[in-house]
Amino acid sequence: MNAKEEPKTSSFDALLSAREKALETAEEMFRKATVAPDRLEDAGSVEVGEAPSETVYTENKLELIRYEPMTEHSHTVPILIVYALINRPYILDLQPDRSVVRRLLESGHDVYLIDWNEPSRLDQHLGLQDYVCRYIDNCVDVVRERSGRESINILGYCMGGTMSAMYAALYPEKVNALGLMATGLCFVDTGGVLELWGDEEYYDPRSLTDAYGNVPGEFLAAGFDMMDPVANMITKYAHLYDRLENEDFVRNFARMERWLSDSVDVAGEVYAEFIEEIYQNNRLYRNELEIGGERVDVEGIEMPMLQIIGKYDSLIPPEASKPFNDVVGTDDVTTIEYPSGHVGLAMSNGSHRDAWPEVAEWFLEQSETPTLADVIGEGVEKALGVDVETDSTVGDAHEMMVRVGDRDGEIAHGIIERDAKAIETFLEDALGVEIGLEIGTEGVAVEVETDDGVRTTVVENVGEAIRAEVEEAVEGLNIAAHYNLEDIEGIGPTYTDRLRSWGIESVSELAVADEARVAEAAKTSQKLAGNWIKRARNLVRADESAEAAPD
Amino acid sequence: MATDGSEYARQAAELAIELAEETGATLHVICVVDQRRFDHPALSTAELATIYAEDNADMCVREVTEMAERNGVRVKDDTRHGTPHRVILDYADEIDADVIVIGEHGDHEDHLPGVGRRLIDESNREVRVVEAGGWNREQIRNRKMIADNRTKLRENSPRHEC
Repeated sequence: MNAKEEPKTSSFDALLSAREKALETAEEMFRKATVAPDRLEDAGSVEVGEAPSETVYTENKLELIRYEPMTEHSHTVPILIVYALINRPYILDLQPDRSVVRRLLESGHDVYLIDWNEPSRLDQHLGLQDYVCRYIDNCVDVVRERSGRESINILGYCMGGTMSAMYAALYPEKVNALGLMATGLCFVDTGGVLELWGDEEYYDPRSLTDAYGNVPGEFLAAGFDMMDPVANMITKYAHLYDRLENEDFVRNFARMERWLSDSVDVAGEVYAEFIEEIYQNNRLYRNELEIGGERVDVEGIEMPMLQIIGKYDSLIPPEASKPFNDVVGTDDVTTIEYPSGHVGLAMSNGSHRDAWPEVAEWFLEQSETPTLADVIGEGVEKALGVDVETDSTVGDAHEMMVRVGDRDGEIAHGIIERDAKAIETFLEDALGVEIGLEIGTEGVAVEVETDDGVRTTVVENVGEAIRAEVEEAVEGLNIAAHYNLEDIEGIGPTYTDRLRSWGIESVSELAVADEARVAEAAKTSQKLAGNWIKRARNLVRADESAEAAPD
Repeated sequence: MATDGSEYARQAAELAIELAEETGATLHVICVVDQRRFDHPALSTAELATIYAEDNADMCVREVTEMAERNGVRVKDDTRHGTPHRVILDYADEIDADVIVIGEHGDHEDHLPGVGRRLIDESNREVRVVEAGGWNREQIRNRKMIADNRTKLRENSPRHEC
């Protein structure tokens, strides 16, 4: 039809526009029917849970998995993910760009995960005591031992989060920092569907576990479906139809359907305890919970705690998580609330861009003791108003990445030795200043000399290890001050001049210089330059580990 | 400024940025996921469409944020879920907005129509509805005509057909 034609009457026009609409719809349907077979093929071939991993411990059905690190080396305190009891853990690793596990690995974390797998009839009497005090505790011990740490980080998901909170209350000495993701903890009129599910007036979990032993996964899946029958029987297919041409959507639809239908049975006893103790009687939040005769005192949660909450999560609404912040023993509580639902928290692009990197950063802040570079960097930051960032996940174990920038952007970055002199030299070159260090009673004094004069800032709360490092460096410099470049075997007046013209003026500077740079400056081979550097290091004893390292 | 990522919204964004430049005000950008279309089932693949709508909302606000930043305008953004005109009204109250800017039409794949009209009806703040200049006159005239005819049709229809 010709849309420009002036209509004769209003009803005629309306009729035409309706017919036009009908034709458009028919055409649309035809087009979708054509692409449907391709898309269904896509849906059948989706992969999930692809981050490479190995099983490092098993007990009964559970597997403790360690993921292959994705950075040159990892942060020292590992993260143990305690997965939920519903379905399979690959929801946290659905596809590379929507994988919680990968976000943590990319940020340099050492990541472990407890996959509970499916309990058998023999496991029907496993309760909270077994899960929390035996299984989680044994897994934590394995991770502690493997990492050589007294305490580790825990990230609990959903019911795994609830159990992690119990664990942290009972064994605070083994938990460095506690992260809880979409975790139900408080059940007083919070309006979540789990609360409805747990309403004792019409639901007695024991009648189910008495009949079946374990709770069949299909029963749980059907239960979730029935909580929102329209969404599960109709809306989801309508959405799928609307987006049949969107390959990415269809593949993710298939991944999510696979996860939701991949249900596992839940051990009868732990299920009943969850319903009765946590959902119906709210004992964890009320601080009345006992497992295996031992009281779970939430005041015992003294380590830093992070809650990651989906603002529109209708399974675990924010009200089922947030009030817990006020009853725990620690004041160091952080809440990240992302505008998504329950699964969206693990899956949406936005959460992977905003929320998860923040979570990774939070765990890092709780884990890393500051390095010498951080101390020097802090002094320089205060004196000059610049930003100094360090990243210990880049480079070899004895190296780190240092970035210097100001409001206008980056000034310099480099991978340098973790050594006072090397860090100083790098910052001096980047900023055109002279830096000096001194040990004081209050901390480390950082002197920054610019054209305008000397500014000294004191960095407080410096650990023993760093004090020792600085002391050694200061001592080394004093020793080095007694030497000239010519005191190094093989360096005569010619080489001294060449090195000086490149800004390498002292033994201590040579000791931390880069082999290639020295070779270029002196117009000699890298091998010879390497020998000089080694001799310079011997003189200043600046880097004993480098001495021991093979060529 | 409320956006839905449509061409109309892009033009509204241009006006909003201009206004912010003139007055030196901070531009607040919001995109609302229409909860009547995209709700939050407990555990269902139906949530995936909501996740995509969320991601889309996020993209929409970032597009405007980037436009504003290129023009040196201070900008804050947010995405929320709910009934668009209500969320926009609440948000305007929260930040005590001087003026609300929105496109004349929207992308009705993502939300139900009539957001601008409701804002004008229900807000006591200044509301600027930016006309769809990007469309050719003919298209706009035809669309308006069809809409007018619909209204007339409704008015003329006997009661029982309503």
